[in-house]
Amino acid sequence: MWLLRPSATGCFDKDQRRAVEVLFDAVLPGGPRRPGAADADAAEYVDRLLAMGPETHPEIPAWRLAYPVLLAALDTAAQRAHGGRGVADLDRAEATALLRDLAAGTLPDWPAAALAQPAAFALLRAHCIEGCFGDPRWGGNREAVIWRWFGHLTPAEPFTRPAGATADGPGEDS
Amino acid sequence: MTATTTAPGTYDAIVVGAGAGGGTAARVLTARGRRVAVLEKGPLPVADDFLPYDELHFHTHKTLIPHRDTDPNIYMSGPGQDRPTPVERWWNVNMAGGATNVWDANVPRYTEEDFRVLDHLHDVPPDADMVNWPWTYRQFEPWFERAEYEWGVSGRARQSPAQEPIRAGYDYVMPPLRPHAAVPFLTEAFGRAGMRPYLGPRAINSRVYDGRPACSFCGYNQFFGCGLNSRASALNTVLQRALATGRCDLLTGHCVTRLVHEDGRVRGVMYRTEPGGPERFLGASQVLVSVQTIESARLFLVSEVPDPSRLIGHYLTYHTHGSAEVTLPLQPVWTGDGAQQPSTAIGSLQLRDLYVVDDPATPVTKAGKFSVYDPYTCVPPVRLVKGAALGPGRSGLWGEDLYTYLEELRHQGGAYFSFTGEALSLYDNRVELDPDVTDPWGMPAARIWYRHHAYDLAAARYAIDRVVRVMGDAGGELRGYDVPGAENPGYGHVQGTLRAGTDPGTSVLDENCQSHTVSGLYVLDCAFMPTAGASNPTLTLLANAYRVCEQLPDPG
Ligand SMILES: Cc1cc2nc3c(=O)[nH]c(=O)nc-3n(C[C@H](O)[C@H](O)[C@H](O)COP(=O)(O)OP(=O)(O)OC[C@H]3O[C@@H](n4cnc5c(N)ncnc54)[C@H](O)[C@@H]3O)c2cc1C
Repeated sequence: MWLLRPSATGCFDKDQRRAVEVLFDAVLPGGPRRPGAADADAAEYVDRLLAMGPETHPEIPAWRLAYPVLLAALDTAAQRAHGGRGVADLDRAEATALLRDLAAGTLPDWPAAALAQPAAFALLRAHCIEGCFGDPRWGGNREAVIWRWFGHLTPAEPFTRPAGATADGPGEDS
Repeated sequence: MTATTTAPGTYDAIVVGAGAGGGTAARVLTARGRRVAVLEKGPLPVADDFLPYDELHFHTHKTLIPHRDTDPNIYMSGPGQDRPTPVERWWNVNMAGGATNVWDANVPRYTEEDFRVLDHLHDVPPDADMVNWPWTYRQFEPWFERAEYEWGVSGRARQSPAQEPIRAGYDYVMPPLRPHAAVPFLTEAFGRAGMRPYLGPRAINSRVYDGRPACSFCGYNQFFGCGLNSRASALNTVLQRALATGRCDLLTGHCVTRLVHEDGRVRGVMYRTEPGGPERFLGASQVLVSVQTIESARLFLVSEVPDPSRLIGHYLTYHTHGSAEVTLPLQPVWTGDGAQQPSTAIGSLQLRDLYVVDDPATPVTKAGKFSVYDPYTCVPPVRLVKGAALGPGRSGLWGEDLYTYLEELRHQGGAYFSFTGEALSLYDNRVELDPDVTDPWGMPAARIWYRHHAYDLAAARYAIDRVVRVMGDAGGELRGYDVPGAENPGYGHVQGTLRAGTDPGTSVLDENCQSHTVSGLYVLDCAFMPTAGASNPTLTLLANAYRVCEQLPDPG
């Protein structure tokens, strides 16, 4: 039996965490009848993962360096396109457009110190999928919300968001 | 299970590697009364170590495999094959049991089309160096049966004329795994095209066998250890038996760094018990190596095994692999009842009708076979969703596209076809020692040159496209589509490098898999295979290990 030793703290500051939530919400945008990254709290997964060491995943030290640079670069790109609003303030449509440009490698003036744009997109996408579809014990896929809807291990169930709850992510209203 | 890690005594034979081939060697030799030391560089796992099942821990976070930055193969990539590129060795699992701790356990036999490949592969391109194997299918048949018995293979003989030819009166030790709910649909669809898929042989228990329980369809198969021992591994089958004789010492944490030989005879091995630690000697007059093809070649090169014809490391082959995934819009999602696999399926069908091709539309005469899976349930979701595609060139899905794919999976039946194909042997496809990179144990990394022959690519494409057409006629729409390219940085089905044959001028090993130049030195992993064959290779590796070890001469 192996034991997961969850980290007590996260790794992102408040703004970084919010930015990751906005970006992940665009990668897997939930809706009234489908859970998304915000329902799963996929950002919590990566926040905790980065606080762990290379014994958990050999790339963690590199990611820990890469994320702040990448988020800052995306913030700059967002601010330029949206009159000073950073990633954390984008709605879903805006975040989707930003990610589309990132995936295509077409954001202007991308800093050399940041991961190349398509690699940066691939990293965000991978971590979002892990935070949505991975085991809840790692901090994402809250209460197995995605598994229950998707049908992993048990037959697929319809999804309805609990009354009163919004996906406490960003862009549901956009 | 017990393992001895005390100082070794006197051994009749040393086995290097406690995986598929090494475990089988230990089993046979101890049953023959020999004292055997098995040197294994990794630790000794128990089934419980693989629990709780967790895709992030075991697969995504790469817990079970060597890391690319510290223990890679170096692949010479690019059209000029001049860019040394570290690649991850996901096919190596360094712990007792080896890769059989995580394998898919599809265990077809190689057949006469593989053993006598020149009789079936016509118009071999002149730059390829294909040879017939020095044995026949019939000679291997009893050893296949022995392997199927001791490793506990579930299956059923004579379901389909496309199946391996099985001796009259013989059948597998237990029935096949429960069929998947898609089987009737797929059988009919392929039947209309004149193809006859069948329930494939698996080294997975369909009922209690050998003290191990039936498969629980837990949803975690390939890339995961089996927490119940329902899936056979070297550890829960042959090594158990070897250890029970009291004549086998399983020395874990022992990495063999060199094969020691003198005057054309093997003397033993050098090993380390920790990276950076001292090299020590262990002697025996017979040494049997089974550490996976590339690693064996590396060990031969490091050990300077005499190689007058410059053959060591050459004729490396990787099977071509590729896949196609279809969704069936008119077919409700497969849901198994009690007689079928539940939603956490591990696949059922093998499709072997394109092993030999007779079609005037193509010059291809031998292609390969497919394992058929349910795309929805055959792998856990992180890997599945990362690989999602909505058609050729439409992969890396996210946003609305990703939901389109997920909704299809949730509502529509689908099928996923994984191809294993013939690969032509080329002298220049090879393993050498890397001049710059060493592994944690201080050994030079393997430097690999590999490009598929155009024939391999044509054969794979032909077979995959045939299957896609059949599925299209049955109402399927193509989703994932992956056909191989000439570059291949590595794969779990890997053969050659130490070809066996009768002529020392054209082979490294003799027909008993003993080195032509160092007597007493044997190789049991797929390095011995003179050509690639076109099926998952491990059952044939096992059959050969039984054959070699049952006939191994007395130590002298
Ligand atoms: C994910 C996956 C799925 C697979 N599915 C299938 C399948 O469905 N069907 C099939 O036929 N095959 C399959 N295979 C391949 C199969 O597992 C291998 O062909 C088989 O295990 C090879 O046997 P081996 O004895 O050569 O090596 P292994 O079984 O890998 O054992 C080698 C052992 O040697 C040890 N070792 C290596 N170097 C040294 C050294 N220098 N000193 C001491 N010890 C050493 C390793 O730690 C390891 O334990 C799969 C492989 C993988 C990774």
